[in-house]
This record gives sequence, structure tokens and C-alpha cells, in this order.
Amino acid sequence: MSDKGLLEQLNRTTETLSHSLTNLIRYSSISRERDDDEHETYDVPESIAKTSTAGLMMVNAQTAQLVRGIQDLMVMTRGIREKWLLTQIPDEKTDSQQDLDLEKCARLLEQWEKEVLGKN
Amino acid sequence: MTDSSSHQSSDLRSDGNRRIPLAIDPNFIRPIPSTVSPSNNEPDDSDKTQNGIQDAPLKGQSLISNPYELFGGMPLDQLIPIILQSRGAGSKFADLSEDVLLDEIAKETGSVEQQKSLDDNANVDNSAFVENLDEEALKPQQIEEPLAKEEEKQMTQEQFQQLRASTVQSLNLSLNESSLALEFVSLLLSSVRPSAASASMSPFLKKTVPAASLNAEKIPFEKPKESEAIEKGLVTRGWKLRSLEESRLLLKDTHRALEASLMKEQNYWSKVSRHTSKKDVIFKMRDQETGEKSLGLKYGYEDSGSTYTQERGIAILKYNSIKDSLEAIPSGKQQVQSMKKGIAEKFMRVRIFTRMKEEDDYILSGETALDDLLVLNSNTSDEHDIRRQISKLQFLIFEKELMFHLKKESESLISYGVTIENENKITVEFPTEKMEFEMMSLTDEVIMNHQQDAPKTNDKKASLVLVMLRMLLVTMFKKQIKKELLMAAPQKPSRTFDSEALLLRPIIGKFRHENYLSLLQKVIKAYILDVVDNSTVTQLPSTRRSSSKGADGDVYDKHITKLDEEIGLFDRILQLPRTELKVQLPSSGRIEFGLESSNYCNATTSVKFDDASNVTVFDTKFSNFKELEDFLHFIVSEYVTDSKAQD
Repeated sequence: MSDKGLLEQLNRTTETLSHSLTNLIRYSSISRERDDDEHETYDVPESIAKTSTAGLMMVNAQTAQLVRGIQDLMVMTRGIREKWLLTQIPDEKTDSQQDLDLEKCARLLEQWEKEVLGKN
Repeated sequence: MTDSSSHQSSDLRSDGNRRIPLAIDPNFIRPIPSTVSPSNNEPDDSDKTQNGIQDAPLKGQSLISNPYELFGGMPLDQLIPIILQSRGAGSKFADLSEDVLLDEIAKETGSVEQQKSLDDNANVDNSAFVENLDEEALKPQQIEEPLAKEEEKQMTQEQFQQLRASTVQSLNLSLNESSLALEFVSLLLSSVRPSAASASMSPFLKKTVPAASLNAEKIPFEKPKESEAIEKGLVTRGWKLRSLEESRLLLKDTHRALEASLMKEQNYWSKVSRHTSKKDVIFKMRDQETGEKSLGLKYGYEDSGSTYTQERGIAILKYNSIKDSLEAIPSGKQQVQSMKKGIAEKFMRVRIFTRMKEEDDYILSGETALDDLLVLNSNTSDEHDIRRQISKLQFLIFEKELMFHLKKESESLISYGVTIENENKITVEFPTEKMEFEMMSLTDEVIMNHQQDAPKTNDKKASLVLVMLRMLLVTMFKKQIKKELLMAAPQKPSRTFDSEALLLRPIIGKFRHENYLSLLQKVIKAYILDVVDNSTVTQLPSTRRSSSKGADGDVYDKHITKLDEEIGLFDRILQLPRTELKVQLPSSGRIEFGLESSNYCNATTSVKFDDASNVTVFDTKFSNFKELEDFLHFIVSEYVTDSKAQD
């Protein structure tokens, strides 16, 4: 995934997170919602059905969304780490092997020959 | 409904025996069941005259026709309601079964006979009110008439026109009724919500009737009792509290789990970044055991030019949370083997045995030391454990490959004293000593024994041989890399060494050549030096071809040049051994000997004899020392001693 894609995903996920947190807080509020113009004038106590829906389903859903968002974030970090690890480009200067001292090696090989053949 | 339908069907049958007994009353084909009036279809002869033109063809057409044609073409979602209708309210389609139907049919045929006679009587009575009902039923019945008629295609133009007219009439009527209803509702609503009401009001109504002129009383909202409200509030709060509690627990658990895995990840990645370098070959792979995504690390030498395919040489980097360390676990089939530790971990040991003089027996005179890598691993586990593990894996696979190639090479060397004793052991015999190349399993016993062993005379030689074997394998790798680099189009390079493995042969060759040389020198001494006075033997400096890197190295990039240089270093070891000796014969010219080998292990001797006047008299080759002896004897006696005698 490109950097831009990652950034977009990050924005999306954080937005979802804040949304679900706000929703969660809204659902947890005890004061009755009066912004509903349908029931503006009536002091209707919430029905059991509405209570259980709002209370259980919504809170659960929002919580699950919160959790999923955070998991998404973690998956993203892993993706970034993998990307970092797998796309390392070897640095020519620091990584190149030490140059062999060819002459010294040749001498060593000669010495090997002598030693093995017992010419010493 | 049930009564009427059963009644009807029986009536129909009683009407004429030719008609097919129907499973479903065809009258129910009509989508609007309410319009079916039971009396309408009572088909008495007397009725026919009453109903006149309209009824007669209707009945004849709809009833004589085979209803199965119609029903068969119907989609199930239409057919099933019809069936249910004919069976009466409350019946379920699921309750229908073949047995039940059979029963019913049997009952019906029985009852039909009885009713026949009954009906005849009854019809007389009925005929009176049938007339009245007919008129009511006429209109709606006509609405659906075309449906049935069209199927028949036997309708006259006149009939069609008539039916259409009545249909349009009915539609207009219903439209009118519904718009009236809408007007009423709109007007009623206009007092409360004028804007919404005026939108649905007809212009005529708006013009003629003032808005909000119709009124109705509101039903007062019943205020819940105080206790009720409190109770409901309590329930609501209870639910909320409970759901929040659940949410809290869920979040807490998830937090704990995620934090743990975050820590794990963090440790894993920090260790990976600390302990792997850019030289490691790391790639994404799936752990075959657990199915987890993980990182693979290649410890095999494939990218370095190895052609060993017996083992993939891939390990999975795993995080061991107990030891808080990374672990490189070989993947694939080797997994099973590495469980039985020590069996898969094998290393090469070279031993040298010296032949005891006068006895046909060998004593161990040299042995390679255990690699530090293997020894240290068993008792220290330091911070850089993972690097050690990787190095160890690299070491082990390298040793395996070494043995693999050694065995392959040895197969062709049996005639030169090389024997493969078993899959883990190769012995090479020389006149005075014996070398053993053995893959040893890494066991505690081996480690312990080795540490106690006293140094022996040939230890160094053994380890030198082993080191050279390894270096030669690396040289083989390098040659392979060079070959792949040079291939213009890397079309999946053939993973075989172009030439055969050169590991054991150069080394054996050195020893054998040395032996041949001393043999040759003995021969020379016996047949020339001892015979010809003042003759001297000198070893010519080896005229080794200097590695021809300058010749073709100008095109390649620096990597290939570097490879060339590194490969060239080993030319000295790898080239076929050759030694030249020159025997100077005073006053009779000289003899030049060239001892060389075509495959490292055999020996051919070239002999060139120039006489005093630099004329080459003989230039031949021998592969047998006995023949060489005879030839030397001949030369010396014929040319050298003879010429001396002449002097």
C-alpha cells in the first residue's frame, strides 16, 4: 500500500474511532433526549423496546466498532513495519564487503599447500 | 366460504356429468374472491334463462375449460393462496398431504351422489332469491371477467367492449371514493397542520371549503402515572447501566489482549530490527504450522550460488514470549527432524590416520576440532542468541551441502582409493595414511569427548584440509554466481554446476602428485643419477599460467571483476598439478620430465631427451612408471653411457 493510501486509512480509522466514542457517550447519557421534534411536547418515557435496543445493541455495536478500529490501527502498524523491513535497500558504501587482500590470500594458500603436503 | 365452495363444486358437477371433476374450484381463479357469490353460479336450467346472454357463455367457457391449463401456468405464489382459499380459512398449506387429499376425494365422490338429488330439490327453492343476488354480483363479477375470457380468446368484440366499459366504470368509482376519502382526511388535518393538508387537498375543495372548517376532538394524551414513570425510568437506567457495564468489560478485555499482543509485536519487531541486517534475506511467509503470517529468513546459500536443493534453507522468525527472544525455526519438513535434535545437526569431521610401520594398521593422528559455533551454543545463550542460531543453521546446511557434493564427487573416484563407507562417511586412502570425512551428529557425547582429547600431530593438517574443502565449495558457489550474472537473459538458470564438483579431487590430487613426484625422483635417481656421473636434477619453477583476468575482464562490472579475482585465487589449488624436472647430463644433453595429471588423480610423465647438440631425440609420454624405468634405462645405456664410452 502506498504512503498516501496508508494515510487515508489512518484518517478513516481515527474518524471512525472518534465517532463511535461520541456515539457511545451519547447512548450512555441518562438524561432523556429532547432533540427529537416528534416528541417535543410529550414527556414520553422510553419504551422497553427502545431502551433495550438503544442500550444494548447500540452500545455493543459502538464498542465493537471501537475495538475493531483499534485492531485496524495495529494491523496497520504491522503493515508499516513489514514494509520497512522488507524494502530496505542495501547501502553500497557501508555494506560492501571488505576488499580482500589478494596477495595475502595467495600467500596463505601457498602456505596451506606447503603445510598440508608436509614440505615444511 | 368453505361451505359455499364445496357446495358450488358439487353443484357444478351435478349440472352435467361430462364435466371434469375439479380438484380446485375454477371460480377461485378470480383474484377477488369476495365477488364470488355462491348463488350466482348455481347453474340451474331455470337460471340460465334468467341471466340471459351474459351468464350463459360465461359459465360455459370458464367451466368447461380445463382449469389445469390455467393453474399449471400460474406461479406458485399465486397458486398456493388459491388452493388455500378453496380449502377454506384456517387451513395451512403445510398441512396438505397426499393421504389427506385422497381421503377427501373419496369422501367427496360419495357425497356428490347424495347431494345430487338434494340439490335438485333445493334449487327450486333457491331460484327465487338467486335473481336478486345476481344483480348485485353482476358488477364485480364483470371486472374480473376479461381475465378468464382473454385466456379463451373466444370473446366477441361486443362482449369485450361491454366488459371494458364496466371495468372503467368500476375504476372510476373507486378512484372517486378514494379521493373523497383523501379530501376528508386532508380537511380534517388542515386545522392542525395546514401546510401538509393543503398539499393533498384538491383545488376544488380548497376553493369551496375554508381550511380548518372540519374539526375533530383530540384524544387527550394520558399522562403516565408518577410511579409508572419512575419505574420505566428505573428500567431504562438499569438497561443502560448493564449495557455500559458490558461495554466496559469488553473494552477492558480487549485492551488487555491488545496490549499483550502489542508488547509482543513491539518486542518482536525491535528484536528483528536489532538482529537482522540488510544482508539477511527476509521475506513474508505464512507459518505452515500455525497459519500465522510471519517473517521467513533464508539461511540457505541459494542466493550465494548454492545448488543444494535437498533442503530449502528457510527458517521462520518466531518470538518466544517465555524466553523473550527471537527464534529461527526451520520451516517445512525439516521441522520434524529438528525436533529430534542432534540427528539433523550434523557437522563434518576430518580425521587422519597414519599407517603404522610394519603393521597393517592405522592409528588416529589428527582430527578436526569441533566448531566453536556448535560448542558455545550448548552452554551459553547470550543476548545475540538469534544471530547464533542463524549462524548455526547456516553452518549446518553448509556442512550438509558439502557432504552432498563430496559424496557425488567420490562416486567417480573409487579407483583412486576413495570409498563411500556409508551415507555419512567417506574414506580416502593414501599409501601412508588414510583420511576420513564423516558427518557427525552433534551430541553431548561428541562435545564432551572432543574437549578432553589431547592434541595430535596431524590435527592441523586435518583442519587445513577441512578448511580448504569449505573454501573450494565457496569457490564453486562463486563460479555459479558468475555464470548466472553473465547470462544475458536470466531465464531460470539451470541450477547445476557446469563442471563437476571440485572439492576432493584438487586436494587428493595434491597428495597424489606429491607421491608421484617422489616416485619419479626415485626413478630418476636410480636410473640416471646413480648411473651417470655428475648429472644433476633440478626442479623447474612452475610455469603457471597467470590467471587471465585482464583478458576478458574489461567488460564486466566491478562485482564480476571481484568475483573473478576471488575465483582466480584458487586457481593455484584447482589447476591440474604439474611439475617439471630437468636432468642435466654432462656432455650428453639433457632430459626433461613433465609430471602431470589429466584428472588430478592419475599421472602421466612426459620425457623429452635432447642430445648434446640440442637435437630432440625422443619426446614421449608414459602413464606407467615401469615403462618409464625401462625407457630411461634404454636411453641412458644407448645414448649417455655409449657416448661416454666413445669419449
